Amino acid sequence: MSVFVTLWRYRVSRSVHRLGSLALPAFAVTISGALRGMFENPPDRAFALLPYVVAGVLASIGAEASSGRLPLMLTHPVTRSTYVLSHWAASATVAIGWALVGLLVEIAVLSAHGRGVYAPWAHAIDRAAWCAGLTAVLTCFSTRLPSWGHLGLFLLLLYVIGISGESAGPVFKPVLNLAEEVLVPRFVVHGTFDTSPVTWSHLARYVALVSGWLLCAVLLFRNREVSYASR
Amino acid sequence: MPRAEGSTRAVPRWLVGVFCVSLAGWGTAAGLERASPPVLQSRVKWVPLAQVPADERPVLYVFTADWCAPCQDQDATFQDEALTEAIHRRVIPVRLVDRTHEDGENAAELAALIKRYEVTGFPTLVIQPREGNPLILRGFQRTDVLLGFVDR
Repeated sequence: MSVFVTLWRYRVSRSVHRLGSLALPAFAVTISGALRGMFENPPDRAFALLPYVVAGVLASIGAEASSGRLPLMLTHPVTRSTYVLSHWAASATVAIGWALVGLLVEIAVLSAHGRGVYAPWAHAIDRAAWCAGLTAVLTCFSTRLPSWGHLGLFLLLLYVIGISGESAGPVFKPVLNLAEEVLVPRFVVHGTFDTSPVTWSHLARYVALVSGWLLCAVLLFRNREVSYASR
Repeated sequence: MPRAEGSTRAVPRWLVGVFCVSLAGWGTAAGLERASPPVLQSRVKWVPLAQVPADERPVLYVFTADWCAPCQDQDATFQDEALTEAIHRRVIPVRLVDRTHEDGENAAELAALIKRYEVTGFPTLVIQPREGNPLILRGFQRTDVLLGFVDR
């Protein structure tokens, strides 16, 4: 718990991260609110959530290794897996916090335009789940890549899947769709619990993907040699 | 490579367990749902495309997709009691789910309708009278707009 609190405070209090963890999400909240006011169909929500996730993972494991914080932290009696999972939890909670602020702004804008939001709690859960999923992927990438390499790899893969999807035939389209699902783990309350019977595969898929990425992160990080901390 | 109990590099067993159980659950549930697909609960009694009756009422086609966020908001508007009543009274509602993203292609009947009404985004709503030109609304529509659309 103490590791989580330390990592969480690092994300919201260090001046070096304020620009990314405060200004970037505040800008994203403003833009998403404005888009909601201007268009009935705003851009894909998963993509719109990316700034919040970026804010949460600014202090990547790779960046902490480069800065010397990681070796220092691992001199404490903490397991590698506790560090990785605490890193994910701290990043995800920051991202989720901003995503929920963004949702509140969007609801306010929609209300001002005379359009209500059906089941706002469901939207809140959707966004929280997407943020937690994206953060798990980026945490995994950051265990081996230095500094902002995890963001670069994520965006590159997303771009390659998107470009390939435009020209893919019926055979490869489902493969690319699965690749996108794995890269961007999603969970939609409406499509899962508003069906008869409940679509349990959506929930199981989300849990499998997030736990899979976290397991992958733990496995990658356990073999990483860090100065002063190797057993 | 297994590590000694208490090693700082041990992999938590609970995480491995959660991953394995959820992966097995995903595979099992997906297989069962493919055999018997879950049906969206809605106030509107959607008519399957193959069972559209031949009467005087026009057909309301609602083109949607599982991945589409505005479509979820659109589905929510169909919970409105006044709108539901108007739909059942004035049109034959048919909900059509695009599967291009998931399966690579749609069934031939659905693909033909998508081509005929030039559906390029979701949701798209079409009222097709028995004779005459269709009325088409593209993108999310509020309940009051839909009421006016159905009551024309």
